[in-house]
Amino acid sequence: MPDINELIITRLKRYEPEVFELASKALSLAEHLTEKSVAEQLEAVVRDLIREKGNQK
Amino acid sequence: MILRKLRMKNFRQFQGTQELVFASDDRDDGKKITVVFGDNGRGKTGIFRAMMFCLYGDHRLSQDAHVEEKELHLVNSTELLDSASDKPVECFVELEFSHGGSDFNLNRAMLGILDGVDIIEERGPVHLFQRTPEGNTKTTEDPTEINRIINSILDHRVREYFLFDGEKIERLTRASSEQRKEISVGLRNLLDIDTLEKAIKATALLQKRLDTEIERKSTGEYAKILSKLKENSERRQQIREALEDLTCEVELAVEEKRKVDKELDTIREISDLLEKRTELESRENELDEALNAMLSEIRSRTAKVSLVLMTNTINQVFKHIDQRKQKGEIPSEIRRDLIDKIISEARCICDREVIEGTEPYDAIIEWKNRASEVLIEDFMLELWRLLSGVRNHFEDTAIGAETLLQRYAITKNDIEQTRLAIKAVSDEIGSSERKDAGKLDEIRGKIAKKIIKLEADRLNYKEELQILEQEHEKLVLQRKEKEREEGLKTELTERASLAAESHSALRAIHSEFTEQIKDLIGKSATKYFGQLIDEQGKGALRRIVVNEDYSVQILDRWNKPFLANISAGQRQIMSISFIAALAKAAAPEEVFEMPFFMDSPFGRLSNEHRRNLILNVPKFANQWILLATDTEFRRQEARLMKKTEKWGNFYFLKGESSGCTNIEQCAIKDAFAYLKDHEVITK
Repeated sequence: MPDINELIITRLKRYEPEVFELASKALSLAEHLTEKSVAEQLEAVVRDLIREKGNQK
Repeated sequence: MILRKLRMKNFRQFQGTQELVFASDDRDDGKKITVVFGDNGRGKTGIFRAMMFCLYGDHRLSQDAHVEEKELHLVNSTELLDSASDKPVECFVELEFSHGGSDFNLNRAMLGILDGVDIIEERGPVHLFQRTPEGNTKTTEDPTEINRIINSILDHRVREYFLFDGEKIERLTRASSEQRKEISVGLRNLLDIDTLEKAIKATALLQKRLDTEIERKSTGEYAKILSKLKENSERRQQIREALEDLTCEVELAVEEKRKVDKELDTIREISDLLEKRTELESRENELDEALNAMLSEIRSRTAKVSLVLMTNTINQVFKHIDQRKQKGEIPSEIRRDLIDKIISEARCICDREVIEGTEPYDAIIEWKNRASEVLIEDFMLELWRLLSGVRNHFEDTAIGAETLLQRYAITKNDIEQTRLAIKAVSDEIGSSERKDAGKLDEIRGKIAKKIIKLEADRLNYKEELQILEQEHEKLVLQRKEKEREEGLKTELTERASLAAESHSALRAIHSEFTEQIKDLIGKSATKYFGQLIDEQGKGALRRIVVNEDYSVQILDRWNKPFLANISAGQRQIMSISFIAALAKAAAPEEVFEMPFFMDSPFGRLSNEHRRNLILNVPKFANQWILLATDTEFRRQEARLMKKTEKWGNFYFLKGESSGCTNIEQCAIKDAFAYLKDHEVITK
């Protein structure tokens, strides 16, 4: 079986680009960090994604 | 993980430094089987113990549950006795292995010292050296970090799936609920699903934080909706947790009930045996009484029966008297006293003179000779009368005595048989104690009621959760509507919305992914099972399925759960099939990167299962290490293994007079000299 995370990433591609970005990041951070640390780091990621989306508009 | 080399110094039976090199598919020209052969007590389990100690720091194995801590030492005791009393003895286990293209060398040490008669052991340093495929090297000495790395390769919770004792492997299918929960975590780690689960929890936490922040900054109707959403989320989370606990409680209760049922079954079994024994004892008493009655009868008949012994004499006497009687000799024609009177008076009863020397005189003398004494004649006649009466009963008495003796012998034999049956039943009952079945039944009833209540609670929670989820959807719509109406769409709400969508996306993928992986493992396990199980098992057992918690079930030809009914050997085959399927599912790009390390691999297996294992395991595993005794690994197994052309190494564990063991490597062709040729396996 191919790497599980690769499979998940493939499936995440079905979603909106921002959803894909945030969920992929959550997955890669979860490989090494605790869920609390992942949540803390994601706060910055989600903020950047929304700002970037706003700028694009 | 591919095992390369195990080196031990002063570990358990192995004095000094000794090593084993394991054959592996990738480096040994296709050879992948290593056999470590030795009698009981030579250190096979010591090698298994060395693996567990080196990889996980395990001092004790699951099989040491009943061994006291102070009785279990890892440092070689001969070396300790040989060393100076104040000098510690160094012991270590070093394992070389490869994983994911990297080569590892793990060394874990232990120090031992003799304090009087006591052995004191202390954990020594642990080092992990790693060389990556790119050639970079790294040494780690922090035990926590080393444990993390080893667990990322082979999670300690599932270590017994790949490094296992064949005699106990079926326990993997008999784990308790709590053990299953632990194993489930380990398997999810092995399959890398744990990362996905962590990501799901992290996005939920992010969503919660963002919603709290929005709520804090909001007012009016919008704040109320947010507050309701928060309450709804918290309540749903509470219910989910409660449902998880309830599921666990139900499983525990079901297991408890199963245990009680098992105890009750045992008692019923004993009860049947006890009843049988009571019946037999009662029968024994009856037979004893009958035997005593027969003995009394035999005694009472002794006088009569003794006559039977004189049958011939009596018959002869009777015949003699009877013949004389028939001849007319008894009673005499002329009584002897009358003849004596005639002779003395020299005158016959007809008044004629009887003169000596005359013919009438001689005739009278002849009569006299023929005539007997009157008394004797009377006795003889009386005897004849008595004997003629006795003779009529001889036959009856003889037949009666014979029948009685036969009955006595049969009864005596019956008593012996009954006593043997009592002994057999008593042995079967053994030391088992009869417990209070009534009390157990009462406990069983309480557990059954508890299960009903828990199931009812679970149903109520599920219904409440369904209602809350519908309510949640409505609240989400209300929130969006409100944001649209009041132009409340801010960066913060957008962030919260994105976090929620990402969370839902990961949850959906997790759900479909876990279903797929369970299906995949089940199908692979069924395929391997079909290769390994004997013909009889193939007919009766249809399919292996993976449960919600990654435990395994086997279905019969009617697709009904059949796990509780299969034999220990079949369980072992099923466990091996599941392990193979797991290794396949966990391996990237179909590379089967897990060793099969089996202590006592064939102990419980019949010839057909052994044959199937030897011929098929090398087809799907790229490394197979067997620690076997002479009854498990015989010439016939060795011949079969040689035919596979996958057998690489053979080691013989040679016992020394000191109690230590030397590991000797032999060429495969020479291995046969160490093996026995048993034709029949006693199973």
